[in-house]
Amino acid sequence: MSDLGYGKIRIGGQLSRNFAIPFLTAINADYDEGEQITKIDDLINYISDDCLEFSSRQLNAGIFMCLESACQKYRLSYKRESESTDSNEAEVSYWIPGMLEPTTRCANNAGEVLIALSDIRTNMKNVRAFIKEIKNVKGAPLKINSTDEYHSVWAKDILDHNKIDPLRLLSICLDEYFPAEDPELPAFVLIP
Amino acid sequence: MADYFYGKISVGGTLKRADLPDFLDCVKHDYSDEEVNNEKELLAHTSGTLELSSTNARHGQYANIEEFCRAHDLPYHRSSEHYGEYTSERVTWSPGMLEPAVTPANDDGDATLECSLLRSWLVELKTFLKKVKTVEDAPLKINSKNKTHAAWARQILATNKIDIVTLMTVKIDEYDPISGPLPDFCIID
Repeated sequence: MSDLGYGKIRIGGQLSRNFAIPFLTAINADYDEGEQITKIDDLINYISDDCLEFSSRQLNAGIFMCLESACQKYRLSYKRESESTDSNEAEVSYWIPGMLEPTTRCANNAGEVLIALSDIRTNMKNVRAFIKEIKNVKGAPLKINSTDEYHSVWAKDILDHNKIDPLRLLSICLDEYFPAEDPELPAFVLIP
Repeated sequence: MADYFYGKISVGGTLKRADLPDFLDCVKHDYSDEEVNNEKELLAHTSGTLELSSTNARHGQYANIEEFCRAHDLPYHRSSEHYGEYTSERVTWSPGMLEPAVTPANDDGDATLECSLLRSWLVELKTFLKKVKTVEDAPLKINSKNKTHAAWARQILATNKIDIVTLMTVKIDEYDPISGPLPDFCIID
């Protein structure tokens, strides 16, 4: 069953003209807003603020299924925002070369990433327990090689700044969940 | 035309048996998945609290039950999944509240917060702590027009220490004022 909804994707990076045909095929598979894009040089019409940008209300689950896959294949960074559909919650997803998987987070229809309060409360409890355990800056080295998701990062932060700042430790959790700044997309460039 | 989608309501507190017929009318109006005609059928939906959930709730809500609860001091929580233009939400009301508290949520029923808003709270708390460096500074903010700053100052004075995690919890509780589990639902004469 189709579940059509709105999605917008911005793409940056260098694309070799050798991959023009499969890349255009991927675009046309997802993007159905009138005529197909048949020439690679026509992509210039879709450049906005240095990046390729496509948006459509006719996307299954608001996702550019083929195009996102092609971006990963050709090492092009992207960020996609999808509004909620009948079956799917709104989400923001991005991928940059080097990532194993895209990071996808629940969002509202304005593209603002949402975090569950239960996760925030858990993180706060963890921060408190961590501080209680290490007691002071001198206790941080004990955790520097911890396998815990956050402990080694927190320990490193404490040692770097030579103080325990619970607010910064909480910010680290948040940055791990979703970066404070949008992932910086490079300009989209076609190369020979 | 109204949209019908998933909503779940949990009701706690004490219902007077004399009010049961009116309450059953509300349940019949809002909940059509099963017949609920009498006390026995109603109590079949209790597990401590009264729990009703349906994928056919009008706008994901239980408007008549919720209104009844507010009029009869029965606390409730309701969570509704997103559907089309409707976003998921969690609603809480307990006696003493003027209006129900509505918090954005995900489809798992967890209240959610925009990451950017949380970041702004961290900055706000940091700024506050630049002015309130010690417990002795807290009285400066106790009458602050900023509701949160006054609450933080009260918290610091009450515990006689500056505990950042607790202060953040104060802010989160303002945003999502669920004060704890609902009392069991029961019917009395």
